[in-house]
Amino acid sequence: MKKISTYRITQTAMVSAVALVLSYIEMSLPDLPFVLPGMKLGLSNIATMFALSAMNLPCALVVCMVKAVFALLMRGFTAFMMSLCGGVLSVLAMYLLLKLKRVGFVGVGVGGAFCHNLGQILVAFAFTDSTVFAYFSVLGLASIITGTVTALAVYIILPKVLSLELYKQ
Amino acid sequence: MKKRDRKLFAVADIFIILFAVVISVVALVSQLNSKTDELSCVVRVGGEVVRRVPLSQVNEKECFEVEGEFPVTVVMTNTSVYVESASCPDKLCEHTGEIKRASQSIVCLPAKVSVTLDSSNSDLDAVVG
Repeated sequence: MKKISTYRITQTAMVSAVALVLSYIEMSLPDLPFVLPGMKLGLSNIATMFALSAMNLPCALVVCMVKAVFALLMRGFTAFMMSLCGGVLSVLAMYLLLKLKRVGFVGVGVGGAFCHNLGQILVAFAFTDSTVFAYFSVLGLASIITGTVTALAVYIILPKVLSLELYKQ
Repeated sequence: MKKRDRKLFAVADIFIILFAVVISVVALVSQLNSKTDELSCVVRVGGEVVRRVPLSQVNEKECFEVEGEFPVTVVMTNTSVYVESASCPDKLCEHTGEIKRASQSIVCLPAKVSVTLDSSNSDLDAVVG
């Protein structure tokens, strides 16, 4: 069994905390006009994408779990399943995209956001019926915007955090 | 130490975006293949059709209650359908508002309820197995 450093645990906890704050801010925002109800910016994806880029896959998955449990406490079981499946699928997608050297941050962000929506639609489909796929067209297009916003945020934040004195591997 | 040489935007990203656009457009087109002649309101719970009402047969206003852990009240009029009240925590179905065109839908996930406007009169949706 590989030893997990205290440093890693603390780091994951801090990024998880940021993810929760972002989720909470997003929950408090009013529904955006012109979009479908339930559509959101996915701000907490910034935290998961950061976890993947600055740390590793297990850390990012832990951040997803924490987010899902937060959703369970705040909004119930349905939200938990949506958050978990969307989160895990998007982390796996971003992990694979980050392996490719040729893909830029925008590609990773959009891929992640798209898979996040895909995961959520699949959960919604499991709970109801194929009606939910009608949402997917709009969600899919929206993920291009939200993914770009996420990518931009990570692109700006990442070098700043990595250059911190505190940040040592 | 980490891959900081990654660009913000690379050529490969265009393909990822195009991929997302294509899938979304395919999903959109598959929803648009309907005419608006005869609409019927289909209420499903957990994927099973519990109620199918042609809107032309609705006088003024008709309410349909879906029982369950989170009761939902669906209101049908001659031209539209909306969810009047839902007891779920997020109220997304209420906020969806009225639907008037074929293939539009209202979904309440906690109650596992979906309300769709179908343009076809076929009862194929009721066939199981």
